[in-house]
Amino acid sequence: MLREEAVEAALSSGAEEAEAFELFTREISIHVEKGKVKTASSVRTLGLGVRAAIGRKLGFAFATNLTSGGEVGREAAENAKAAPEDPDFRGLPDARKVDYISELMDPKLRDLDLNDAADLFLTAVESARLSDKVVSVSGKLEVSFSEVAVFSSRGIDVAEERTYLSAYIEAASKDGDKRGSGFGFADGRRLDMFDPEKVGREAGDLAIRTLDATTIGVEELPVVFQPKAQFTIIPFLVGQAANAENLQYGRSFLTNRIGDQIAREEISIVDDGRIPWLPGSSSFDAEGIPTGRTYVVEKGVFKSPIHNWYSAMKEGVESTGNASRDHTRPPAISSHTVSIEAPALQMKKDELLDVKRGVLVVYTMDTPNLSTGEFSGMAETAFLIENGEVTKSLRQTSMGFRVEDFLKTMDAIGDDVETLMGFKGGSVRVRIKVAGPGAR
Amino acid sequence: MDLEDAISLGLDEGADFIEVREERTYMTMIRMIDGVVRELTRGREFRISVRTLYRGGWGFGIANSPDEIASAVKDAVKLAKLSSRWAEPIEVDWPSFKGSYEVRGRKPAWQTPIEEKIRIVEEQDQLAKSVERVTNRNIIMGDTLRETRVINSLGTDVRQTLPRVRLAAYIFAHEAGVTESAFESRGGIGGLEVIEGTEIAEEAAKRAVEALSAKPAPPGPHPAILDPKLAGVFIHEAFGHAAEGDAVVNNESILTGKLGERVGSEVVSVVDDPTIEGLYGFYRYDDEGTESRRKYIVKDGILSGYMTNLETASKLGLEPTGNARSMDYSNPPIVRMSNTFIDRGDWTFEEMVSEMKQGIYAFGSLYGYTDPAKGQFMFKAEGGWLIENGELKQRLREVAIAGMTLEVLNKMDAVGKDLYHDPGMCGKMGQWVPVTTGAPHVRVSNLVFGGR
Repeated sequence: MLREEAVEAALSSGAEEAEAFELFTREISIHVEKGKVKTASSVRTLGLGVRAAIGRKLGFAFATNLTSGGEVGREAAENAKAAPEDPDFRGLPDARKVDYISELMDPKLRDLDLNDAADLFLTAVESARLSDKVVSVSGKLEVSFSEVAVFSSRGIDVAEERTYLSAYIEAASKDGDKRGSGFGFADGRRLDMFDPEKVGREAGDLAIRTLDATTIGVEELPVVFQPKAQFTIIPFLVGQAANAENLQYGRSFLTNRIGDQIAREEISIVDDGRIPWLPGSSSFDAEGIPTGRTYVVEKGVFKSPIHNWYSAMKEGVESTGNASRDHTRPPAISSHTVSIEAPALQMKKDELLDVKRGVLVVYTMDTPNLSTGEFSGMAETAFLIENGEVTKSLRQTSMGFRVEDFLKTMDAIGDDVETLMGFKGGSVRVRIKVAGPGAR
Repeated sequence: MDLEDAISLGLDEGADFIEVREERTYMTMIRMIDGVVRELTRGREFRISVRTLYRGGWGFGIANSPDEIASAVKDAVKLAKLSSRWAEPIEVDWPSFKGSYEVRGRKPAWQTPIEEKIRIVEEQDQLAKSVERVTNRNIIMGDTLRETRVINSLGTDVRQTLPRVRLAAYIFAHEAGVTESAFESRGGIGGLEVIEGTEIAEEAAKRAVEALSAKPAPPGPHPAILDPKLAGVFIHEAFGHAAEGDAVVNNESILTGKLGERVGSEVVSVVDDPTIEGLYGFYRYDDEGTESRRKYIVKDGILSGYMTNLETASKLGLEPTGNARSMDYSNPPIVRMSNTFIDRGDWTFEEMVSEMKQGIYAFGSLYGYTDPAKGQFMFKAEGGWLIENGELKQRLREVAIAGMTLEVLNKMDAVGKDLYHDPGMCGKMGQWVPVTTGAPHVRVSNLVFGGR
């Protein structure tokens, strides 16, 4: 096998230890433009990334399109010889017992035919056409089957199969001079996690509702963030701010703050790599270490960072199984699936809207600043809430807050739980400052 | 099977059009953190991609070696036939191109010993280390060599070899419980000479330290001056994407049907130019093989062109502008920008500041994005200065700026002489390609800032 050949070749070329990460992916995709299938594609890739170490010197090499792993292993060893010493490198990961999760590979998704995939996706496209005002629908469906394996001279030998689906639909609307847009998306490791009609309707509905837009001025208001408006904020808190590398180098606003109250005490934030069928789940991480469940924030207190092997060894603790990578790079640290646990703040989703005046944020693409913990960004898709009712769409609405204030002013969490892009949770309500060009 | 035979096979299988792209890429990456090399990577990739068209439907696949080309062609034709079930027919009346172009650079990076590259990274690390209050230094250097050959059934046959080099510094500073950061990079087409003599790590370090005294920006609308980096990202994100032919054809752009109309104030001209040698977004031929060219997207405030590939040019009744680009072998080319910039005006930065009674000077770009359908955009400035009575008074923190594209272009009332091109990567539909964003300093009468 490639990975074994690579490790063997690295050792024969002077490496004292070596590890190979092998990734085979078969992906089909359907790309739709203007309501029609534009391109159907089918791509298979096989990649190999090899780490080789000599004492405290570490080298990495990768290649695709391989018939033999030997050359990559030798190159990794040569790179290790050329690399200066890293005083914090304590060796490649040791083997740990991996309990395999069975709910990562859906045979229906693995065997999905392109014709069936196209029919399924076009159902979503058609579902977005809720009226003549929806002038264009575009999107992409990607379905992949992958085999991931890690093999090392330290005894790691793990492999598993995973499937993955992601779908997004964008709808553009027009009514005279007014323009709007909406989107819907879904991801998961099982075919039935994609409900094409729901995703399409969501995109079409938002496109129509954003036609009538207004603006607001500078106000501090109750703001409800729907799940799609949280996946750039809550997972960021875990994957970036509580990322051990960022803490060790002092880049994060959470540096030296373990034990500090950073959220109200009803709130815990957990990273979980083992939830069945979620894209963030796997039996082992990108270094072959078993994944787990890490309480990053417990009862409002910053409890633990997430680690890969390097960062964990530097601190003399166990890896939390959060190493991530593709075959072209050495391991980094990423969150799996992040969720907020706060049963005491739970309420029905509609009850969150019960405010005199507020903002409903459906979507934002922005992330907080790693070093200051401040968020300054745009409510990309947002609506005004007036007397408990969602009314007009908002344009040019910026938001500014400290992440800690976001977690401390959170007074309600909805039961409308969604899972997407490494986040699992319902809507939340916070109190923050929003800014627009002024009421129109 | 060779590439010419693949074209014949595709036509025999019934394709209306077939394109085969052979691609070899070599790359090196060095990442140094606080003086320690944390990543030393070398890699190579080789693939052949096949794209076919059948009655308006496209099929795409890849071959991992010449032995797999025949099956990749047959699969791609089958996929195109599948797509054609729902497609509208396309007339293949496109031009063809022949030629070859190669850049090696004075000091080819791919042939430079790894130890010499590590020395370059170390020099930057030392520059940042010498700045007081710097607490974390991240220096990244990457070089790639991309060799491509594109042939198609219309007779196009072009070869191109382009080396790219980029050096980046991401520096953190800390004092009295406050941590701040700054990012700076240089890059372009050529060898190591592209990054010679730069002091990006020191520049980033000084800005990170300067930011320690910054305050959050006052939220709401303000008159603004944007530095070239920020104005460049604005024109790329807010306007450039809306002028891409696919968005225009699909009626997903605010610029659909507006050719020849006024879209901005008369001081605004916007250019996309892949032919500027040395810039990070340079190429002679695009990934469909079309020869690239300079074009005005906006001239004196009037929308004067779109960026197109073969298909969208044909649908719009325009010439292809050579803007079809793909991230790599595993993706079909789509309409993309290259080196996109606001053209020079006649103001100086000092004149703009001195005339402003109250406002914000925003500088540096962290990222930005746009929704071309609504015409709404957001871009994030690394920092800013509060301007009072013609003077820079208070340093401001990172801040988001939101707006409506055409409103802002109309409110742009002064454009500087100091055009600057900044290298970066642009993402669209999951594909990232090297570009430069460029502009001089510009003044906008009113912009919404998302401060705290």
